[in-house]
Amino acid sequence: MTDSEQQRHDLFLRLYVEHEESLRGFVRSLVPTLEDSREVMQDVAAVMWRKFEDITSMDDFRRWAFGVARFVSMEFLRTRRRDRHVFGDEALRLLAVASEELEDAFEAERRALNDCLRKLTDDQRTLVEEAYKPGVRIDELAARVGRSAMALYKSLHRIRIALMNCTQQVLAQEELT
Amino acid sequence: MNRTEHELELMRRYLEGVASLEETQELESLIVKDASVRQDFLRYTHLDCALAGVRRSQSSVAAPRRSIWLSWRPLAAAAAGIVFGMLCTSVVFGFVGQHYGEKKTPLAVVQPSFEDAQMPLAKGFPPAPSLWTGDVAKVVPAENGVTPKEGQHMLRLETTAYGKPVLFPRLYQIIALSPSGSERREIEVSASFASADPDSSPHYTVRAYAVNEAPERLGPDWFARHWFVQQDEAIASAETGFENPPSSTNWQSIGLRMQVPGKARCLVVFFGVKNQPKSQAKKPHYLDAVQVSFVESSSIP
Repeated sequence: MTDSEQQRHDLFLRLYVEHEESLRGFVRSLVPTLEDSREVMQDVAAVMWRKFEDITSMDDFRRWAFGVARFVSMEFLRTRRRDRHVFGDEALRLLAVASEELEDAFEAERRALNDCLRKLTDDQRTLVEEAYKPGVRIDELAARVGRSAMALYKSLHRIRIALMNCTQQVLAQEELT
Repeated sequence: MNRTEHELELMRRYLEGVASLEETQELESLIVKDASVRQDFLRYTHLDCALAGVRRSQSSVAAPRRSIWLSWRPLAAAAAGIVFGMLCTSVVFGFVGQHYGEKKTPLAVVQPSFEDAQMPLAKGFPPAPSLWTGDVAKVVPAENGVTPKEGQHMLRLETTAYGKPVLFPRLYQIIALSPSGSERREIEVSASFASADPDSSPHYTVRAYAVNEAPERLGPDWFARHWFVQQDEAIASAETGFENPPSSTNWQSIGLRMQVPGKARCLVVFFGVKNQPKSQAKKPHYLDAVQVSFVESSSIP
């Protein structure tokens, strides 16, 4: 790798790391199911690296990155998930714009999440831990713990809502102090 | 959050891939028309991703002020359950280091305490094992109110280089692993970080990749491919991170443990500090006391 390639590589890593979590959240908003969104994110990173030399101004990196993420997500949905109902172009465009605009707010919420995770009960924490293990199927997890899959989905949903409310409270508290 | 149960249920069903055409269209219409729905939908998806990146560490460890949750990148091997990491505060690390019946065998880390003021530091990814490489950094004695964690020196990670801010200063080292007949081995990687500008909220990161490539076959291309693409050649990886407590210039010790297949030929360790773009550090960060060890648990007689 030449010096200039090394510099390009370093620059790419810096920019990618800076925006990775926002891109992950954006891709998740487009791609139903967490497993599929994980797969798409790997493709997004690979395509970004391959196409990185096409960028002329690093000031455009964020917009370009979200564009790549949107393109790769749609390609995935078109070829792999024809059975799924997905959003149209205008919704995707608006989600991309909002993702960019709210990047800092989402990062603050991720930081506040640490505090909120500690407020979960042991049962809630265990459920989150088990449900979010890579490759875990909720129906199999449900069978293991003797509950219905729907009951687990709903429990996880309630936990997520509680965590979202909690992160808002934590951030509001931080603003007051 | 002022969403109705129905709206939240639409989000859930869409993200779980079970929404009907009508439900998808209804949610889409809300997203297009109402910016607050858009925002809450994205908050939900970001939370979902964040939860996918956290797993609980040693549950018996008390971490009074900070999380004992960690984030990690699942490789294919990790998905098989062979990797885990843990986030350690100073208190937590003390506990981890004193597991009863454990034996730690240090691996040969070059300059773990950065005591050689003339230590060479190449740029970028290591071209060979037994070298520290990475961003602009310098071995220094005590300065800026920070004294070395071990010995007389520490490594200063610059927050600006060539007049520009460095958002993510980091260091790498490749460590060759001796072959092992055992199916798996446990490796612990730890380091201490401090910041002369703690209120810039630096986020410290430790990562490790165990790979079955020979050290001489690794290089920038390998790293570029595997660091974010996460292909199978990296057979195990773990990551942990920790945000510096406000106003504290104390050393923060961070560590991870990973189960490494016996066939792994080398370990790539990575130590980095992510600066917040909105509060770029005006003074440097420091790294010291790097330790990499095999951990063996003695069986109870």
